[in-house]
Amino acid sequence: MRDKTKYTAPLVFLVLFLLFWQYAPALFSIQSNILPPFSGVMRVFTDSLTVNLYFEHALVTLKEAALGLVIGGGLGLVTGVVLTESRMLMTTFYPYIVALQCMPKVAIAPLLVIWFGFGITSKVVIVALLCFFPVLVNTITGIRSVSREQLELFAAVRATRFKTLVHLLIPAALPSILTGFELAVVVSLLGAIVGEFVGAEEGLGVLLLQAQFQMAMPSVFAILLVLALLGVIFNLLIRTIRKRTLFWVAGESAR
Amino acid sequence: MRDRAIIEIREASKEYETNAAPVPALRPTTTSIADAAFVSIVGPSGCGKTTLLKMIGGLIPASTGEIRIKDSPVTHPREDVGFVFQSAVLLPWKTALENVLLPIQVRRRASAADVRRAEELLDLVGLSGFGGRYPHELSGGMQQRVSICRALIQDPACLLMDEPFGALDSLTRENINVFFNKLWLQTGKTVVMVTHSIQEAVFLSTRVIVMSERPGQIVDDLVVPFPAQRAPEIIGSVEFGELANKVRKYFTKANLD
Repeated sequence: MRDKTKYTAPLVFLVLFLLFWQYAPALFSIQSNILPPFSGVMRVFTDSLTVNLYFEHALVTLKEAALGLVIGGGLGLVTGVVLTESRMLMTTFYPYIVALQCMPKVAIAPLLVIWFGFGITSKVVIVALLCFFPVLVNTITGIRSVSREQLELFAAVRATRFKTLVHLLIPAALPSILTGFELAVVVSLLGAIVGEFVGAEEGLGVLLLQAQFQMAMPSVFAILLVLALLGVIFNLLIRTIRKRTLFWVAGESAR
Repeated sequence: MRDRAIIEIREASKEYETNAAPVPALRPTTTSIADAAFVSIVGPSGCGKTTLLKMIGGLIPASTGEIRIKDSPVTHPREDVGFVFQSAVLLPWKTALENVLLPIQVRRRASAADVRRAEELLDLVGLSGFGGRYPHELSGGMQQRVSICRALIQDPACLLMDEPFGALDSLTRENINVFFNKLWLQTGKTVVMVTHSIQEAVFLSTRVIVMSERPGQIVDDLVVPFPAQRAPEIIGSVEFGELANKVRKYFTKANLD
């Protein structure tokens, strides 16, 4: 595909979509408290008090998601490394990890709110729990993808286990690990919002519930747009990190 | 001291354990390799020649018998033995220079002298100025030369090579053979090379060991009478052809049986 169409085609679609959004409610006589037109949603952002409010709450949600991502993803990475280093630990714990992974973890959210309260902690724990598994599984997959020849090379140069880990296993697993983080980014926002739905004092999830109670549809849509924006920013961030660190993987820069 | 044996193989054999019966890969083998010699091992696929090479390198243990290098038994990979693999096995996230320094970096911090030595080795293999390049920026022939530098960085007495040029196209392979002959003369290493190419074996070696099909054993051991420095022209000579045919005879026979 030519570079030009790469950017123009989605832009054209966006414009058409927004036009449809703007005129569809009038065209199909949908009430504005069911589906407000695009301009109605945008009007929410013209009020500086509302924008400030959204910004403050968005920061809370962002903080929960980011902290949970770092803690859960970090623990997933470390656990993955430890499990691949020890066959005993792997055989002991792997069945339970698979079992836990299959469980819908957001179901624990109410319990976590009881344990950790309505503050930020319970949300961070939920997010961490959700982010732990994709990173863990992808770390294990990545480390196992190391070729026999590479391992033989490290045996031939008499590398210790630790040096093999640092110079071979972790760098070689990095593409897979970052894929795990890409998946974790998606569930991090999900976890934060669900946690806020279940019980919180601050955050975009709380605002969303309030707007819903008041049947303030433009606000509901405006908050959803903010959430979508947060998701896109998170994704761009992880993709930039990926491009920078994985310059040596063929085709990575084309993603 | 040129004829003193540096590698001694005594009744070394290998059986691979499987779920069913153990699979014999190499029959008890005895031979010795002289200091500064260039020995090629040729044989059909799966004849255990790579197994023998890896046993010499301490990468896999012998089932029976013993292998000694410089009078000490081989129990694990050693610093005085460099290993070159079938493919270059360069780490794609490290530059050519860092790849050459890998054997040092897994032990200690590379010193300025180490870096200088790595650069000298890259110069020696005709890769001056390529130290900062990443493997994906290098051709297959260049990558294999980097891996040869990596095997030489700790100045080993022996260089073990497992079909090092097998993945290269035939033109690159001929060039790298001529170049490698020079490198061997310059460095004075003992080289043991496993190869599928009879021509390559005769061209580079002072001695060619021929092995039979699995379970492998040595069926012939030929001295290559050419002077140490080899020019590509000798490939067309009558003696070269006769020697190559002598080796080839073993494989055509094996295939007919």
